[in-house]
Amino acid sequence: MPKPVFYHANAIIYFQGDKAEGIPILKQGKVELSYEDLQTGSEIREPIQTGEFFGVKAALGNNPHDETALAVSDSTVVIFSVSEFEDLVSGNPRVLMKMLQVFSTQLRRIHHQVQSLLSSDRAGTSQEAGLFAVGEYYLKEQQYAQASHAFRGCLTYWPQGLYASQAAVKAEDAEAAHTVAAENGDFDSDGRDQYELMSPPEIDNYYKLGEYKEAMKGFLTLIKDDRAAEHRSYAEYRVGCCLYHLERYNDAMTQLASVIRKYPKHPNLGEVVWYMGLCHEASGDNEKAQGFVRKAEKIVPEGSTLHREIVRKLREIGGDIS
Amino acid sequence: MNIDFSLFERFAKTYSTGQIIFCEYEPGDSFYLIQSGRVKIVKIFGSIEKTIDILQPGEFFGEMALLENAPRSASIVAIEECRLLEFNRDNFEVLMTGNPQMALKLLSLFAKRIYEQKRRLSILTLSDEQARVADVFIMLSEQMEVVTQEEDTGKRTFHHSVADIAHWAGMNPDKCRSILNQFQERQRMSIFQDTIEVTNIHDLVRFVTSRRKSQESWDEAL
Repeated sequence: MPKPVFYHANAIIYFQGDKAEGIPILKQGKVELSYEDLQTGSEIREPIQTGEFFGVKAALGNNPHDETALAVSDSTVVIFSVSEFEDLVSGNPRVLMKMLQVFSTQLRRIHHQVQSLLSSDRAGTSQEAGLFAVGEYYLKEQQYAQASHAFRGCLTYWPQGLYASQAAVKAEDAEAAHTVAAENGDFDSDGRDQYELMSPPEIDNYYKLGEYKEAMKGFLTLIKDDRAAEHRSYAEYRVGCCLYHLERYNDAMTQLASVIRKYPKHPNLGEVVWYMGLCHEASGDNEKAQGFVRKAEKIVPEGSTLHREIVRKLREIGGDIS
Repeated sequence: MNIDFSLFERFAKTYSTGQIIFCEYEPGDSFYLIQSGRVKIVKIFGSIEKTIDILQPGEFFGEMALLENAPRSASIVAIEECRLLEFNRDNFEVLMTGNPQMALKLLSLFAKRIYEQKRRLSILTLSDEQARVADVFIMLSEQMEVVTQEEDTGKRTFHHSVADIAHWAGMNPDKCRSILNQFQERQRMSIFQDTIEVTNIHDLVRFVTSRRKSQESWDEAL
């Protein structure tokens, strides 16, 4: 149930930087919001009308308040929880639309301020040149359908543009290459890439995002595909890491052990051995864990981040550092 | 979110794996709600394509097009077969008034975006370039999951390149690199191939706070 709260004159309802605790609506009295303009540093004060919600953004976005709310005179506010607030406004499309408009105006304004300060970011590149460069990137990467999309875009939006003639030629190049690739069986009948091979850094992006299942799928595809032979040893090692994060420790150990046997000079040998240690630790075999972590410590170059992490782990699991 | 999708059948579009929904720099006038499948947000930096995020069913993208005809700031690519609902400014109001759940979701998305943009702006308003670079790391660390170690040493590892940092700092990459090198020389951070390790984030916070304060006192004096 929304609960009424009374504030004496000059009481602070919340400070800038406070975590949002519900959404207040002013029932009676006088409340003022104050914040600093980011660009000028001057203080801005904004009165709240009776019947108006305030502090909505912080509560909905789950962010700290970016303004301070002060009771200017004795005031009563009623505090709604986020779900009570949502129940209330979903029955009132007019209020909801009004709020969307207010938010979108704010967003537009701040977006303009950001763009105007980003002088060196994009100002140097025209939109057309940018889109053309995207097409060039995909063409070089032999992602022909994507390249064609970008070049066709240049032609649609800037038919008389600086890059139009080049874009027309390159769009046709990309489409011809796409057809050839399709005839060679690189694509299935939908015209869709059958094996859209991702590069190891691309797959590692999933890994970094914690999408281990997705990353593992990617690395497994690399292992099977002859076009990616050069990445095979890396992919096999990464599958082991994914299995570890998926808490399939036994599978991970089998995978990593096979990597060590197959590639005794693996460029990531230190990491492979380190993950072996982690797997043993996770499955409760501290003695084996120590053995592998100690080995990893000798392989991984001193001074690297991983080395420091290994030394830390050794101390934690009680292994000596030689 | 419970949405009766049958009402929106005529806005549905399907995309196959690898297909581009829109490309960075393209002008945009539509926004999308993912009904099924996932998409990735990518940006091309020089010769690398970087995945910024992966979006799931129920999430929106392209919402900035509702506000203005700004060029798209990133590309969206389907990573599996996707079904999307495509809307524009004309049918937006009908859609939102007819579907409060969706409007609420968009409202919180706007709230998040406003916060992010304000945070970005607060970096760009720093006149001291070192402080600007340092503040980028602080912003990125705020987005990280909270470290709940008992004794927080302040060490943070960032999976970002110099180009990423330069982008957020609104600075050209060469300038940014030289500032990062200065930080490295003073042991404030270590720069690796694809990660940057900040020795103590709390030090950077103190540094930025003091620069911001002295900037404010100057602003007042001028």
